[in-house]
Amino acid sequence: MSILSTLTEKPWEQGAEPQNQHSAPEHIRIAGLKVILAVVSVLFFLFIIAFLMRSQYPDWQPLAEQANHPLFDKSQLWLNSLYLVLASVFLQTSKFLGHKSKSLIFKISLFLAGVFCCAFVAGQLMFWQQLYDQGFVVNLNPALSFFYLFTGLHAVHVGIGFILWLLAVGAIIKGQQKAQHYIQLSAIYWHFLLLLWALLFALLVSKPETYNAIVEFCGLGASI
Amino acid sequence: MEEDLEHDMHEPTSFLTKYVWSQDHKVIAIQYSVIAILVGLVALVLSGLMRLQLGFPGSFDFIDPSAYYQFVTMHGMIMVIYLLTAIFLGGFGNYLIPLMVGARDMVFPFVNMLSVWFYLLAVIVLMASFFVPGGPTGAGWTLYPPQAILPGTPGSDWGIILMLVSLAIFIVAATMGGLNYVTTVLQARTRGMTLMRMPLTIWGIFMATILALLAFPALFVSAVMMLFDKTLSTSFFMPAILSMGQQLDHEGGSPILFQHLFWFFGHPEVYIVALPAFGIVSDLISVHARKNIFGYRLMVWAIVAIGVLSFVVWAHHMYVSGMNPMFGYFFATTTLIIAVPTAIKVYNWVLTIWNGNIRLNVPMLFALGFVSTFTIGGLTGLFLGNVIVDLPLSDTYFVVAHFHMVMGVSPILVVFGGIYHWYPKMAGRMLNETLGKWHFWCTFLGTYAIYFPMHYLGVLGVPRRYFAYENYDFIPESAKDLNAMISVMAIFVAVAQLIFIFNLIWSLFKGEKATDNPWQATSLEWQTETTPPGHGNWGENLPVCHRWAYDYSVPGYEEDYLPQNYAGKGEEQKT
Amino acid sequence: MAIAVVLILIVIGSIVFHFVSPWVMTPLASNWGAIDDTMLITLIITGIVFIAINFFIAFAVIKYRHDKNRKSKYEPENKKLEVWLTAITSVGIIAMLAPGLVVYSDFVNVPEEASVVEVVGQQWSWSFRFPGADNQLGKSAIEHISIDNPFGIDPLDPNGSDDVLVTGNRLILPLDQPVKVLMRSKDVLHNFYVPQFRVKMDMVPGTVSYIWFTPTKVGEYEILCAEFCGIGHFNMRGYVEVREPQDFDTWIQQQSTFADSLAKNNSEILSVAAKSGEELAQTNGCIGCHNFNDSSVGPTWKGLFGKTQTLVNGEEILVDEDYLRESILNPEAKIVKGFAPIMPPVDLDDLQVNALIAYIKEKGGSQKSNGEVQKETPSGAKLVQSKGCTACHSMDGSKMLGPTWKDLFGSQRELASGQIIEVTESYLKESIFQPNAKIVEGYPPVMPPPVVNEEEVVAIIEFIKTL
Repeated sequence: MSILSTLTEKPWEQGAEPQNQHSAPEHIRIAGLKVILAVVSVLFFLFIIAFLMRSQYPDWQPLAEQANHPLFDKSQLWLNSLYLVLASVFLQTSKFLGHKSKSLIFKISLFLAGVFCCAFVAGQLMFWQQLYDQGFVVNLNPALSFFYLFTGLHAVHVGIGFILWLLAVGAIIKGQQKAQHYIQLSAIYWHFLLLLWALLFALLVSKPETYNAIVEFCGLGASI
Repeated sequence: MEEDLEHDMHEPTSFLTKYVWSQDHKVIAIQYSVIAILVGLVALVLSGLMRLQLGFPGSFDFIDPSAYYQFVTMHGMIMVIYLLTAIFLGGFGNYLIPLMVGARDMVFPFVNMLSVWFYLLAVIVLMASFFVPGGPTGAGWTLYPPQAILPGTPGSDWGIILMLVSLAIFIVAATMGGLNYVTTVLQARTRGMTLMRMPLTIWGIFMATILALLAFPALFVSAVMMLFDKTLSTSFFMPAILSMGQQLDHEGGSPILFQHLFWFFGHPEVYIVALPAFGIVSDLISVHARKNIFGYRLMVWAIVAIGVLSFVVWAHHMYVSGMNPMFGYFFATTTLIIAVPTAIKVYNWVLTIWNGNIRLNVPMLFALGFVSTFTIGGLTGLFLGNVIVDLPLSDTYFVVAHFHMVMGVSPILVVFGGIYHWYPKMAGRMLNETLGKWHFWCTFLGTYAIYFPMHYLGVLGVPRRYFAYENYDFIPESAKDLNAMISVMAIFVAVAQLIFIFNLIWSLFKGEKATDNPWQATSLEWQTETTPPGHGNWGENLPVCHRWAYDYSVPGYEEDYLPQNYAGKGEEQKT
Repeated sequence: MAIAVVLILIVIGSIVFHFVSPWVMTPLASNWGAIDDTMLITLIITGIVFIAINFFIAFAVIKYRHDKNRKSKYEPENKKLEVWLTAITSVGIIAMLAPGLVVYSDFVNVPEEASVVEVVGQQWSWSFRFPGADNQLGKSAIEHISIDNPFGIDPLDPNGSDDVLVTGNRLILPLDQPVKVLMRSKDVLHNFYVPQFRVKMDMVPGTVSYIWFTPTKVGEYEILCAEFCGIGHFNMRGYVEVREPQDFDTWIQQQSTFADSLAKNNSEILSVAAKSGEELAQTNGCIGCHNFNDSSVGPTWKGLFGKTQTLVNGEEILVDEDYLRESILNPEAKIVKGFAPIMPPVDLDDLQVNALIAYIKEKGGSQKSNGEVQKETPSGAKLVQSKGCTACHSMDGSKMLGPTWKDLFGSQRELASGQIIEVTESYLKESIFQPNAKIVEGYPPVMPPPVVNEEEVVAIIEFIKTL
């Protein structure tokens, strides 16, 4: 039933026998999760717009162009990204093995997902520490401010994902039926996190020309 | 999300779980409303104080410029965010959505409870700013940097930080609530309740919630970035500037970027307040005119169209902001286009009462009052939306009068109308009709007397956000008398609200007992087994929806209304 | 029923109010009559709708009031009517928007013959800059701003040297000459607003915005700030005066240029001793309080050598090498009248003291050899207006942002620190140059240091004494 045909219904005309309009609980939770992810997407979308618009001002300094730039050495970030990928992979594996939730491999895989999630956050914090030690403080230049802002918010976001994972683990320990479902929800959420991180990572280390091109393409340039 | 979705039928018994840590949408709605009304009273007192200064400058020693700007700022912010947004979505939304779509509760009751507690926390943080050194922020409710975070503006040390933190918490609360409203409407309607059979109240709240979910992130983004600028001296919005004669560390930031983000939230915010009001008023008019709403489909389309368009008009708040003037063409056009669906809504309200059978009780009076004040507010919006006409009028009292008419007085009239209409269902008793009429006439005539002449101050060119207007050649002496009159009326209207508060409390104990459906309305919330509805709303069986919410005076029936769960002639009414 | 009567009365009352109210648009004094016309079109169209809607409600309420024996008409929708109403509304919208956009494009596109003037806003006063003979404004930036260069003009930009600088919140414009106003701000958002000219625009730090108009009536108009800019927003006042072109030309000839203002501070070639003195003055922090401008916390070094100073005890003394040496090594021995004894002793050897004195002598020039004609200092009464002091300080005892000046001099004040002080010349001087050093109890520390020189401060203090 498309939106258009819904909106053109004539409700005063008597319809057929009343249809069910209430979804199953699993559906409702997934729908709720999608709403949250939509809000988070808009949030980061606006941050990225702000980032791109700010990048057009003359004092902008790229983060990863030269050896003395803070993100020139990306090895730690690549490592963190790997953690996040592994976290997603293991969670997906657990979801896949969900029907035999008693098996050891399922438990190990779920456990590893949580471990790598923590490793990611710890790795990000380590990277912050490295930057801070090199004197790359938050207000040094706007791009760096955005870096701290983005990674910080993303870490909070990962933290919420971790709570979701804890719920799933808790449900398994209690032996509840809905554990399976929680893993499914966590998986959606975590894959989204990974995608978001990939986008932010790519954005932060892009060349200024890339920003200019995107801004040009979106017609944001005129707003400055 | 921990709560099981199939609502358990075990009613909470202890006082704490029933009234404080309650997950029942009706209790949460009342909690939201009570907090909102209380904080709204604070804002009302603030507006009275600032009118004292404007009407009788110099007569009140304790109102110095710092205090005045703090009053203005807190009044605006509280009214827009903490009262109107909260009461429409958190109050009416929470109470009406499950009842009107025939659900037992919101789909995530635990998250819903968190929402109200976060809202309370946001209010507490906001109120705390009255007690920190330097007081609350006086940056104006728009919080424009650079001045919002610099000395020279009241409350630039702690007040602004608490304000931004409070807003961030409120946004989390609104998002948790919004998650519930949207998901409940989309996924948990009762059998037969198709989207197009929903009352317009639900359509308005539903669309407003979508706007809130998509627009509040913009406020969150700007608040977080400003917090960074303030506390970590980053330069998101801060260009190289002097402050108190010294050059600051900031460099290269853009104050206009903040304005874009702020108004990308700020304009949809207008509709976050207006759309629920549109929806509620449609239902009030239809019920009390005993007639179906005219052009239901067009009303729904208009709500959807306004919701979509509200995201492409934001820069009409920035015609004189120094942004690229080429934007003026685009935003003037979109802004005037949005006037078309809005006008259609007004036409349909007045066409609904045409050929009706109008009962002029208190909710209906408020609804008709709304149509009149909203017409003024909407029409003056055409002045300000048309970029060239905005140039002389922007930042004057015309703007103040316009937005108070369109998103101050009008939605508040609907809030009152809505409370008079649904109070019997919430409390089980009717509000006193005589007191209600007094309340209506004082509020309606009073606000007209305040804001209609105020437009003319703006036409004259009197700028807004001025603490005093002394010795200006272009402002005639008579304008001072007008200001004094406006202040007297403002205080009169403020005092008149005591009638309402008294009525709310008095009727709770002494009001006439309400029947299940005192207005003979069709929508599902009036078809509950008990009044007020019990835990789980519907008793044993959920209602089944057989028709739209506007079957009033259908030809061929004895009664002049057919409830939505009425299956048809000759059959037993099913529940 | 009452609602119907009231709605009709509201409509009639509104129309009557509109025609009899004394609050009408401020008389136009620019070319933007077209804006008034578009506003009139909007008023007529919206007025008709306003009357129609309210009358319709009133009529419907009377005609269809409740009757137990009647039923409403059941009419879900009426496509034809809805299409018609939508169409009529769209026509009305276009009738307002189309002329509006045409006029707006006139506003956006500045005519080529427009002359340029720059308006600079700061908390809470205005200053103005004309491009001078070359018709080009010099580049400007915040980091160039100093007490000698309040406009922040780039000293290396040749276009800047002939720029005409106007301070004192008063702008003069020629009649019938289109003018493009370039706007910038030194601190926060401001908005250049003259009600009689109709157009207004925010002034945004970090960018330059613009408007244009042609003044069409000789006269004096008020400039207001229309964007909230902090606590003194409502008192950020200025004036624009429109004069006949020839009067304007005479006036602008008399104004000083950026080059003039720099010339006053040009350093001469220094001897070796003086050069090391210059270094010492910097490393020892002397220049924190003394400089060669007309404004400094301690006595200015400009023209100091050879000058006769009055000391606090009333004694007059000639400033020679001995006096300078004594004052450097033992600052509190002979305090000049009007200054606070706040200078710490400086630990220098004889050679260094001599170098410093040589620097003061050579850079500052001496009173006799300088021979510069002292420009007449404007009266304190005028200065307090032009420097924006009166935005926050009243002269009649009424409470504004800052302490009132009435009966201020000689009175006792309690500071925010709890200390009680007497208001003396040195206190006033300190409070003007370092406004936030000693804040009076009950007032916010929000006063920006004004751009004033020492003579002007003396004049202002003399003026305050008279109140």
